[in-house]
Amino acid sequence: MTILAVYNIKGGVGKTAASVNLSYLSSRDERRTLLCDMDPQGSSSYYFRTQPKKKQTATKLLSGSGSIVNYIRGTDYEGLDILPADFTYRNLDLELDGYKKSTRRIEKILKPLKKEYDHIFLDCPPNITLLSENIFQAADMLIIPFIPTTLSLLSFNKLLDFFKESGIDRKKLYLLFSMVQSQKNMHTEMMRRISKRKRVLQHPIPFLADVEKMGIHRKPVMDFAPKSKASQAYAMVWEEILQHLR
Amino acid sequence: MRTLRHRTWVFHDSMKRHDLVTILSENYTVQSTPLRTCTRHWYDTFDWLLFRKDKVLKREGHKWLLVDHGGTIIHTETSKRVHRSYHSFAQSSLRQLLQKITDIRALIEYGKEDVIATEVRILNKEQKTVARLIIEESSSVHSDAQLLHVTLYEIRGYEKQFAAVKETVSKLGGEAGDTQALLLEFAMSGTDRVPLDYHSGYDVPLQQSMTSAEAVSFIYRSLLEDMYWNKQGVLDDIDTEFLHDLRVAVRRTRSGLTLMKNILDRDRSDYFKDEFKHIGTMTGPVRDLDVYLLSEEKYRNRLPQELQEGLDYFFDELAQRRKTEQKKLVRFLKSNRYQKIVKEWQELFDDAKGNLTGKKQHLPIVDLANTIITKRLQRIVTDGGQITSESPDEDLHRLRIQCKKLRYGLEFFASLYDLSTMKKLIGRLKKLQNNLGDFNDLSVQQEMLTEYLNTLPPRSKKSRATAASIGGLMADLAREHKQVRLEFESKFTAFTKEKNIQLYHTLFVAPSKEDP
Repeated sequence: MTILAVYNIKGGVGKTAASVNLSYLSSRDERRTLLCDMDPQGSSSYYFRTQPKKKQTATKLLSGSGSIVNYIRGTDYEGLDILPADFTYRNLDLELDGYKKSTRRIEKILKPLKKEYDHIFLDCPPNITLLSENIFQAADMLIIPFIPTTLSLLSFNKLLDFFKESGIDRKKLYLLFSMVQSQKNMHTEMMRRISKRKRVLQHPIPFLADVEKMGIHRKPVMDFAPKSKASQAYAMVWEEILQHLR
Repeated sequence: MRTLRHRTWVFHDSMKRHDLVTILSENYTVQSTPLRTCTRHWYDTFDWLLFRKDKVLKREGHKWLLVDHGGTIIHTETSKRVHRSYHSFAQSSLRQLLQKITDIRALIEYGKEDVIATEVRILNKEQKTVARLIIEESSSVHSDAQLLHVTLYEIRGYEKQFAAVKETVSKLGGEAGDTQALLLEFAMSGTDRVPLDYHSGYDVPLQQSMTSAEAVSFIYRSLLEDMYWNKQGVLDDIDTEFLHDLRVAVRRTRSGLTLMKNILDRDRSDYFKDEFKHIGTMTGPVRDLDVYLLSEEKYRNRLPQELQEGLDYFFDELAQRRKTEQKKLVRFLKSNRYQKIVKEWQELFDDAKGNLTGKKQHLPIVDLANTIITKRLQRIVTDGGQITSESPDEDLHRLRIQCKKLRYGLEFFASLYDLSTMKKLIGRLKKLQNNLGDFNDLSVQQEMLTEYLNTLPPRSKKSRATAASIGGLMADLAREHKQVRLEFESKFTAFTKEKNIQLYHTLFVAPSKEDP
């Protein structure tokens, strides 16, 4: 089992679109896939038209009372399951704080799923919190959707510093150019500067209307616009991720 | 994590695809996918090894699926090849499992159906799929039969919805349960085969009340059927087991003629003994070569890496020789002589009572069985007891034949006695037979290799390599031959243990009219 977390300190960078589309592509490759919507806003859950079960709360999730598997739901796609977000997740940080080894709690909760899934995607909430730290520990790969601007670079550097301070392996971090507008000089210039670094995915996700339309269709872009540029872009990114995982 | 449930139904004529979709849409919000068509092919071995393990193997386009009778997919593989045995599958868990179950038997296409399929999704308020149905309308390619097959799939987290749809469909009167077996039968409709119609191995249930003539003709007829069943497979050279099974039926028939004397009159009996012996002889060479070719890997394991090259030449030549012998075999099976033997033998039993005129024809079969088995056992005990470590190999070969006769006797008559005791007796005899059989095989192999060495053209590089390999093999075989010979004594002592012999005596001299 490989855990892939999609994370950025900032919101609105194409994180959920990446989580939804990449987890879909993973399942289409006949890999048993689970998408955990860790963001209380529940955008991934919304895209897959799922609601959490009434009994699902942050307390229960963390305490392990009632195994995590009971909260998992099937999506409309074979081989792709989702753990829907619950609004009580907004308290996850407070809840986590009450546990010993509180930075490893999420890792522990996901453990029983090891045999069940080949890939587990975590759609993470923004900000650096105790929950994020838990996710950094648990993940084998952290995909950071990155809009190529100076401010993004600043916040990415902050993240690197955080990893350094907490002693977490920085090699887990992979940059994914997101919402790229090639007509903007700043974007192309920034991409040119960074793309030679290690662990920067070479295929960008352009800023495209089809990605925005996911909210209307409530489906992965490959489902309603399989031949679109957006679908092609995600497919290429997924190929690249698989190569890194090998 | 709990495995997701599914449920299947088969409707023969009672329901059409659009009727079912209408019923579903009256009860739920549904969404149907466009129709999809495919041809589905069904495979198993000639003797239904997969079916016996509650499995079916099917192919839809390039997709191969191994499925259990309840419809759960065990393994799948996408491959452009049309596989004839487990051998050509990719190294995968599918191949492993197929190898375990089907071994050297070929995969035969048994049925074919044209399928029109649609997926119907049951949606909730959010337009989210909460249950899925695959509805397939099939037409058998071999007949004009039609059938509707419905599978309902559970989606994780939507247990209630699964239960509700299950109830709706269950009320419609389809046949539920192990539908894969039904589907296979359907795909085969119009062909001359049905599942489980053939199995390899002896199973002719006799009845206590039978006379010898009745029992014997029953036995011979079913052995003759085995010959019929397997002949085409030998002609088409589908796999090596067709010839093996055909030869076993011939050997059992010959053994029957020797063991159960005086049921047929003597002239007839002698005539058929000779004729069946002839079949045995004519079918022998291909089988002998098969045995070598099938144990290629074992041979290779006997030799170090440096001597492997010579074995390549050796086995290439055997394969070549087999081609020639197979042609001769086909000619023989199509010959007038073979047809005549089989036809005359068949006619003999078409009107059993009129034709079986031997002295013992009226004897109850139980009496005959008791006499034969007792006599055969006595012979083994006496002959075997005289064998010492100094005895010539010939004595062991003769004892092997004696054991074989007892074995056939036990198998012919097993159904007249308590089956578990018979299994025990056969099991014990088998251990002795294995030792004698190995001893014989090793002798034959050494002789064959010596002969082969003599045919090698002198002074070629290829011959040198081959000779070196054969030499290595012979040394190893001779070592094992000696070892097997040493083990004979303990195997024979185990067989003649008081406990075993006593069991024969209680079972086979008991009054014939009572149940043992």
